[in-house]
Amino acid sequence: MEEVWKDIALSNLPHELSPPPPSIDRRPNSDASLSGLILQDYLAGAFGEPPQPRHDSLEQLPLPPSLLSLRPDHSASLPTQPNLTAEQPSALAIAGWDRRQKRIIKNRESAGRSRARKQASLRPLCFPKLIAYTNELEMEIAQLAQENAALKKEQEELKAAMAGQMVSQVPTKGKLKRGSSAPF
Amino acid sequence: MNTYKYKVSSPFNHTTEYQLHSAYSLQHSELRNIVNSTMSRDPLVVGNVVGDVLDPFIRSASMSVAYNNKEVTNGSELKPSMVENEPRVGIHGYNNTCLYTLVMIDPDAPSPSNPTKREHLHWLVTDIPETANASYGNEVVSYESPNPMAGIHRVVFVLFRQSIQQTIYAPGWRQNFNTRDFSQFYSLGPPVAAMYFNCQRENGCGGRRYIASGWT
Repeated sequence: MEEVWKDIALSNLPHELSPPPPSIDRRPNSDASLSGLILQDYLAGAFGEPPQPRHDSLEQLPLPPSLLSLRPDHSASLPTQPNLTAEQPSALAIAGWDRRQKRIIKNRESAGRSRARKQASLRPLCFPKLIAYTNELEMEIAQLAQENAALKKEQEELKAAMAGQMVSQVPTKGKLKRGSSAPF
Repeated sequence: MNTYKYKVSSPFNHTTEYQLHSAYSLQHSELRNIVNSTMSRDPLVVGNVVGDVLDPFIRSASMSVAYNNKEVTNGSELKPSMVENEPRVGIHGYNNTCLYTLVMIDPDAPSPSNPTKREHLHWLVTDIPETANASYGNEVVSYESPNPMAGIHRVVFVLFRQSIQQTIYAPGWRQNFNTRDFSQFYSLGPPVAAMYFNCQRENGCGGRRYIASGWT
């Protein structure tokens, strides 16, 4: 709980600082202040050789939001570029990662297509099964067609019966029948 | 009240005709659902031809496609050298006054991972009489042999039943053809038969060539 407050306090101190990365609360407790300064320098684009202690804590640094969201597994790649300026690795890394991500997605789609192709070509080769399957379908169609016809008949009969009943019952119920009262 | 006629031809070469009256449209669509869900073993569904090119439909015609006297099975693979010349597309039946339209397209142009030119029209033949084959029809768009440059392409044959003998005009260009729109424009209704085969470059699928596949 205290780390959260520490982080918030740190983030308020440097005014020019961009909003801290979302996973800032993942940083280990002990390095809170140290990594806060380093983060500030990093984001402000510090050029020149980074001091030795910075080199170690870079590994624990939360990466900038864009890199974080795209590279959940590759948090260790940042230390491999300690000599580049703070701005360049992010641009190159992001472009490279975009291409890589697109590649992964396209690979997945291609794998899916390969599987579909495999399934599509192998299945029909089970010839006896195919015959049985077709027969099953034909039987099902026949059965359903029969059922349909029967139900349709039934419905028509019911309709007719209902109509007949309606005609006979309702009008005659309330009517007064006039018997013969006239002399002629 | 509509009546739907089904013709199911089994491998034993007999056709049975069923009539379903759609007074019970619910039952009809239930039947359709049954057929379509159990048909998920259908190569057209598995290969996603139903989806990319066509809407789910019920087969009511019998079409056979043969290149060099070899019949093509649904979902099989053919080399460009095997499909250089137009195939013999036969429509089985008994009523030669019934006319059909055949469309042959490639939905994976220029490459399946980047199908910006879907669909590429290879062949369009109309007024094909039942019991005959496509050479008796009217070739509106001449046969162009499939020659995929990148990836493994599906090449789909779609058959429509014409209610009348109608004039169908060739589109201005072969690429970006749309079978669904075409069918709607000429009131052809849903397809009555379809099949597809896979095709890739003669010596392997052509890998990831940035230019040919349009991948950046």
